[in-house]
Amino acid sequence: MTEPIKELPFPWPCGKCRQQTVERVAFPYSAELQYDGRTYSVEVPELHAPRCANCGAMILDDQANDQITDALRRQLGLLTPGQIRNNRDSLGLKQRDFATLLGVGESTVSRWETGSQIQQRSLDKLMRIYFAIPEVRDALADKDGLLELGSSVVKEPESRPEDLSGWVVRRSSCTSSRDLPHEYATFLCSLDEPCSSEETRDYGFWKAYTHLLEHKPTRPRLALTDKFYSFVLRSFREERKKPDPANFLLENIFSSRHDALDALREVSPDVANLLPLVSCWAVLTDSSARTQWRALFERAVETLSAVSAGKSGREEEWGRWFVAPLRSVQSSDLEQSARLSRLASRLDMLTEAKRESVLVQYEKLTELMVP
Amino acid sequence: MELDPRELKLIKQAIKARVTGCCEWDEEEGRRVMREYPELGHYELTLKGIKAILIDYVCSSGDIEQRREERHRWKDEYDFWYRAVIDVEDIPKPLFVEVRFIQEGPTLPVVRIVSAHF
Repeated sequence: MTEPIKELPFPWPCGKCRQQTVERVAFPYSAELQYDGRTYSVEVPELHAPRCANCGAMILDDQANDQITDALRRQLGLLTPGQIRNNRDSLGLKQRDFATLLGVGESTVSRWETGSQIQQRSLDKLMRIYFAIPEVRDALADKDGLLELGSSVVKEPESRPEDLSGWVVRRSSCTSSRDLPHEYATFLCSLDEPCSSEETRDYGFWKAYTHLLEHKPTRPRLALTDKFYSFVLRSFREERKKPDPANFLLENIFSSRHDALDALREVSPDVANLLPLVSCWAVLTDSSARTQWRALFERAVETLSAVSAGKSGREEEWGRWFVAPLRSVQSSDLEQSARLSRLASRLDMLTEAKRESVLVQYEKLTELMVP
Repeated sequence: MELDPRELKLIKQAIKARVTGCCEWDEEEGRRVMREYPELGHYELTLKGIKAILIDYVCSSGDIEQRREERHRWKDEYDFWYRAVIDVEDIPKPLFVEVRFIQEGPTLPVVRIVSAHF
């Protein structure tokens, strides 16, 4: 019994010139192939394919096709048929099981592994993480658990000014946050977006904070959230790398310890409301602001000390916490000229209208701080 | 002209042989198909894949239809052309594949695949 042949003996007939002159030869080949709706130019430096010696017509048998699609896969960074098959085998999965896990037909997996079909890029990525990460395999195998994955939607901040995206919380019986000044609400929302420049963000910050202070008497139930304080803290950390007692104070005021401000607010609302703002302002600006800030700070300490006198617990802790940075600031030799220079350059970068507005706000603050 | 059952039989024989060289893509036509029918690209089928689908179809007793060649371009060279319309698993549209008879050959007949589209 003769062995069945696997390949017709060369030379083959040519479909174009009808001569029996087709031989397998090696030659450089280039073609444009479609993948994922786009056209890619593929180069194969040495394609082994049957070609007619008489008219040059080519035949694409499986070997030549594999060479061409392999070149495309390499160019696109896709798994090869062998890699898919070997990875699946190493996990002990049958084609049918693997297809079920990925949500495709068994025939599709078979076609991927024989080079009959090139997997879509998204499925290629899914297969890669499936092969590489055991947790992904567990997740895909757990049908019920899989339904839960990704079902809770991460809410993106909306662009509507009335959506304050967690910057402000309403306390009990508060009116809608839509009642906030439009500019303030818009600014708070903009904090979620990449900022065009530090100057813009600082300017907006001061402006918004001033609004908050100015409107506070009519909005008694609104409070800033941890998100807001974290934002401010992060901004200041990014901007000022050098250790500075004032920065230390700011970090603490705006981080976990802003509950101290709430305590202060209960006994001295004016001081409590102004302290963070003036502290920030003092860091950025000149010595007069810093002097005012120190005066205000001392008032805060006195107030808290009075409250905490004879008491133990949180109030006393808050008092201690305020005193430590104050002493630190008092003993430091701050470079005021450098700060003045920074403020001047900041103001220069603002438009004239904004510059005026900043200065007006600063004057307002100064007035507010007069005992 | 009458149909040619013998040639149709040779066509099927070439496809079912599963022997390299008996049923292959014409390179020029293959490139044209990939260029002109982007839907093939949508399902990322390769020319090798289309050939494999045709062979599996014919080996599973799928029908090949013989049609008289009346297109101007081919009329002088071929009396007939052959087509298979194949339902492919996971692909919602049937695949149309066109084949031409080249030679009866000393050992096995030879055909070329010259077109495919959905």
